[in-house]
Amino acid sequence: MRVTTTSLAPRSGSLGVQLAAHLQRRTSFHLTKPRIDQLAAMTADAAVNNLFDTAPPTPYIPRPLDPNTFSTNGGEWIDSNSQDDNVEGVRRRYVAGWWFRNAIHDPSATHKLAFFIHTFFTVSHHVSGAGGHYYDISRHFYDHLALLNYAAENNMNLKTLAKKMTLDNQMLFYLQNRLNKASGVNENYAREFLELFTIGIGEVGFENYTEADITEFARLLTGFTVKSTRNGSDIDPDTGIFTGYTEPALHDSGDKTFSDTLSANGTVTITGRSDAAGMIQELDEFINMVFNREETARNYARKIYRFYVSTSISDAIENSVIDGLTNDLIANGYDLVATLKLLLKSEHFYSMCTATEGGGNIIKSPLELLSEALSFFNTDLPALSDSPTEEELYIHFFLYVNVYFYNTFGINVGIELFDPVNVAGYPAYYQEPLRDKNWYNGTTIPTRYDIGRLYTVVRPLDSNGFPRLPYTYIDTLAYANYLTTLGVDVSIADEVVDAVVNYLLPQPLTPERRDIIKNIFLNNLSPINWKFVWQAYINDANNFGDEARLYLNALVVAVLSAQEFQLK
Amino acid sequence: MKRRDFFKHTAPLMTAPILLNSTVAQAFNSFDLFTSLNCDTVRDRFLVVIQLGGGNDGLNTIIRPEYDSYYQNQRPDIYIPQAQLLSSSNSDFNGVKFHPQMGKIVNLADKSCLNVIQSAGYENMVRSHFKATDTWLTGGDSANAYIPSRDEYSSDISEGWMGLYLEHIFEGYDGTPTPFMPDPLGIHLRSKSLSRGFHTHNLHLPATNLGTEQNGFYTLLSEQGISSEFFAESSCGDAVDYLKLVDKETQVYGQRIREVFDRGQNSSSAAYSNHYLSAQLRTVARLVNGGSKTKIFLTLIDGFDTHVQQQNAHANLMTHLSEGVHAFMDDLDKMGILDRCLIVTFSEFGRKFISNASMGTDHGTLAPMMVFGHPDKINAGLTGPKIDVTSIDSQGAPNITADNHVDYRNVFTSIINQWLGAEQDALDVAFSAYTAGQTLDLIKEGSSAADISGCYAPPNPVDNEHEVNVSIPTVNDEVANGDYVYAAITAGGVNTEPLHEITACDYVDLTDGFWAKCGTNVIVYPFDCSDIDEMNALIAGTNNTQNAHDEVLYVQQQQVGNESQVVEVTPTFERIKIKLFPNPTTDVVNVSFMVRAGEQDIRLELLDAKGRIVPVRVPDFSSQGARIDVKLDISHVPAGVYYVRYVSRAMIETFKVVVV
Repeated sequence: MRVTTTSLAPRSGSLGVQLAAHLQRRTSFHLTKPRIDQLAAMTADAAVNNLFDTAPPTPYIPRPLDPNTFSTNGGEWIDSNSQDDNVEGVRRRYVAGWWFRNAIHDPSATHKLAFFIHTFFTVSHHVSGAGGHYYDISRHFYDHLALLNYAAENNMNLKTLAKKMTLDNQMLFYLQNRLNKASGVNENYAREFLELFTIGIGEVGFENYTEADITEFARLLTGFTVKSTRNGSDIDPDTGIFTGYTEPALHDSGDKTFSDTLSANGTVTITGRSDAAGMIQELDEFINMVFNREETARNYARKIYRFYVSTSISDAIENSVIDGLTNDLIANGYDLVATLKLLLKSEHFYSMCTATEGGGNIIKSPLELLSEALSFFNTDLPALSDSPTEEELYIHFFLYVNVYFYNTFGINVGIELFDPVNVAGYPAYYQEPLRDKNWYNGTTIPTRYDIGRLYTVVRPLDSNGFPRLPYTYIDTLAYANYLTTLGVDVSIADEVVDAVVNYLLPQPLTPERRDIIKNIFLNNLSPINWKFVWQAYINDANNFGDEARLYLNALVVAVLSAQEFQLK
Repeated sequence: MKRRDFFKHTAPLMTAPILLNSTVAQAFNSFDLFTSLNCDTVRDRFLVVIQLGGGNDGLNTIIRPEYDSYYQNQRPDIYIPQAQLLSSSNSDFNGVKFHPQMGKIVNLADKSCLNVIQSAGYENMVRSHFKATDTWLTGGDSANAYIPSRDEYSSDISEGWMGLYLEHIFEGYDGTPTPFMPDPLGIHLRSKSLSRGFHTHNLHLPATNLGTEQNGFYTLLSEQGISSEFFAESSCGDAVDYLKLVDKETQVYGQRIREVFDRGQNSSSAAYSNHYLSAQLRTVARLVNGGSKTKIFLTLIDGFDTHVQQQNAHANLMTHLSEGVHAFMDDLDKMGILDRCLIVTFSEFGRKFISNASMGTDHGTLAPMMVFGHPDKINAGLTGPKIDVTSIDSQGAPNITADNHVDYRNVFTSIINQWLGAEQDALDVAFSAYTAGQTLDLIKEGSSAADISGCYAPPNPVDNEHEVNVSIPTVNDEVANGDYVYAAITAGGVNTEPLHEITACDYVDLTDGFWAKCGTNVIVYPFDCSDIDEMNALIAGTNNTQNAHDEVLYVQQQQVGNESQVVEVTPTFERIKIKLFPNPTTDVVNVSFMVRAGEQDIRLELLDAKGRIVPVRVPDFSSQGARIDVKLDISHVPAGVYYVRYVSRAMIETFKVVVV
């Protein structure tokens, strides 16, 4: 039996398929055989660098689509002023769906890192409770995702990120700091900044700050607000993204006093200022005070560990790995990516299990189930023709995002992307003691297990010529041909099975289990039979393609509905 | 016969063996002529918890008129003029007024269906949504407490009081339905994950969550061809074990919940709105009506975090809450089962008295809790001190002192003690962090389960002799005068009227697990029925078509009449006789019996002492003819008490075998 190690020392030697797949699965929404094979030949150091150095591909569709393209208004909407209350909700879903589509195609660590940031700097695209309609919310939401991606792709420091989040238009709406002014404090953002975004409330609660600190911080944040329109907003020179601004007229220019509980340095007074630059200075001083606390680094270290390695942290892990990550964050000044690299290159990251190397200890999020199933089998979401018309783009995207991704898949598996149930985010990322197990229960599993069956059925177009749910399908025959180009002899059943299960599943199968899947693939016939089926197809694709597809579909459904696929 | 004598007479019957008895035997064991308190009535009770998510502004929910000028000054944007507030005609509620949108709740107050705990909370209340919600769900507070399961002191209890309570009561619960509890112990409605209130450190959570009602509940995994055969053992953490457990529990409970849901119905005049709280409560009523024995239902209405423009948002929430509770209680009342139900509301905190600049309120402290129930069961009125809004802290929230509030745990513990029958040991487990508990008189004297002991736990299987005389109930001469001539239709008395008149061999049966309300719905076997055997088969057959695997066939019989009219039952029918030998045994048990005329689809199963099926290979005996001799290999079974269960179309019978 292997012994798990708590060492953060770099793992040496090339990764091999098992560990390369583990690394790719934990850091990316994109999982393919060639990508895993590419990393398998590398050391952990080289593979991790590759993940963070690779730029995400340019989106196939450059901007989220316009729900109005198919109606009268038409055209680009994000940078325009087009306002249509009827499509606001759809627009936000388009942005999320567009982002998720890009994520599935991104072999780098960018999108999953952006999503990780989202799980604790939580924003919902659904800004409610503020009263009234805000036409620019969908644009602010687009900017918010741009900030997440920018931070992930450009290794943004966590201190910098905390500051930019405070001035993010969507955040200013979501937690209502836009309404926080000297004449009346709204402490909503101030509270969550401390509790959820940075230092954390502590195990007992309020050992890191007091209620009075929240009120004082809320006073400090008065006047951090939004312009009336997105196009009239300031642009952050660092990121090129629209941002909120500081309005001295709404700012409480008095001094703010913070407790020793927060500063760990006696009572600290931040001098009140009355101009825009002074307001930023107050914020900088406050952020420095919070980030000078070891507990802030430790809180981030735990978040990183729980997202990337394991949702449970034992005392032994706390005193070794978490200590190491905390110290690293402090030493490098909150360079999130640097600390993440340290972790992903470490011996510990590859030694979660006692029987084998790699992962299998976390229950996948529904996003990962979908993104791995689709990217692995080269499947687009939604299916598009080679040069899609605007109409096709619009219709297919509308169906995929609205009808499938949110209204069918999302509500059944318990995730509405970028619309978590509350500001703490998705329960799987914070709710003790279940954490990732929150994804998996009697309500969600029928849909979680149904992906393979749902996606391998070829559905004819409906009477309007539109595709049917789920608006794409896994073309297993095309995939088998693709495997041939990768050097797999598809006529040999074992080679096909290995090319799928060794890459897609997080742990090696028991021989009996592998036989079950193989026999489902072979329809309980001999491997020779499959060889004939495949050769018949090669010789006469028109007449024998359907039969070969039946076999391949059976294999894909078996693997995607195996319990092992639920884990990562 | 006097009432007291009657109870003396029937008491032994109530402790008679009920393990997997046939329907009629069960009916005979547990009828209850009067609405008196006994263990069965306590066991049939359930609790509905309504969580007001986000922090309800209790100060604008239940209002003390004497503070009117303070309201005008301190929260001008959300001040509600006195003239718009509602009052109850019930003098028990003198001194308080209600939010204008709470008309339906005022209506319940008028009818003595409501108790308001005016000022609920705990010392040093936490004002973080997440920490505070966890606190209410885990029975904690801001102080460190000893956590037995972790052997340490912490304020983070992590295990939910509902889960701990249920797990303690149903000891050894492992996610398998038992004859005594075919349902999940708790159900969390409208949620994609299970509330922390139900979490415990066991992998087997004692409750389940239900998502939307689309196509009924659950797609069964077996219908999707999911197999965990040869699924690897876990080598990293407990994720694999968890998958296996959830898969199994989803399968068994999915089937059960789907059946119960499909079988149940809301009363024909139920007036639920389309709001999602109403939808959850409608589902609860339907599940109970369908026979669910689940003890705690957790429902949620959220949106109470009214930092901004509170006035309209809060008014809408009050409307939905009032309408939902009212429609639910009305529905249960029409079914005749309102006296089985208690409802309690809570929110993670109240809000500051001083409003903010966004025409809303920030996180505060004390707020009222509301308890709803049958007017014969609960003490209506006001409990505990009022919230003194003249005493506020530097943040603008009501001050909390040692004696100006009711600790919220006193509400929960009083409820599970007086309503569900939890005794001190259960309270100690569920609220380990809370030792200063005080009992609130929420439940009427005579209805409080605290007045009788030993009721909270499920009945234990009693040693069942090999041959037991059982029992088609017949009514004795005393009622042969035709007084009992009414019966209601199946499924829990949804149709209270017109009552169904019994003629000749007419009969009705009640749904599994259902108790009809005494005085409304009646099931009476006609005393002059000439073919009682056929009737028995019909009833059993009904159950059989539902699900041959149904562990328990509770048909409970209640009869109506004035108290002087008493029914007795006499066993008139012999059960099948089965020979088990050797007994006690070590590795093999022989089962012999004669097939009775008309018996079909006989099968044998092995159960453990908790009623769970133990895998055992049963040789095919279908071709043996009239006499059956079967040898069961039980060499793999650990020592203990087991039951061989005989199942056929007509009956289910169990026989004890001891493995040594």
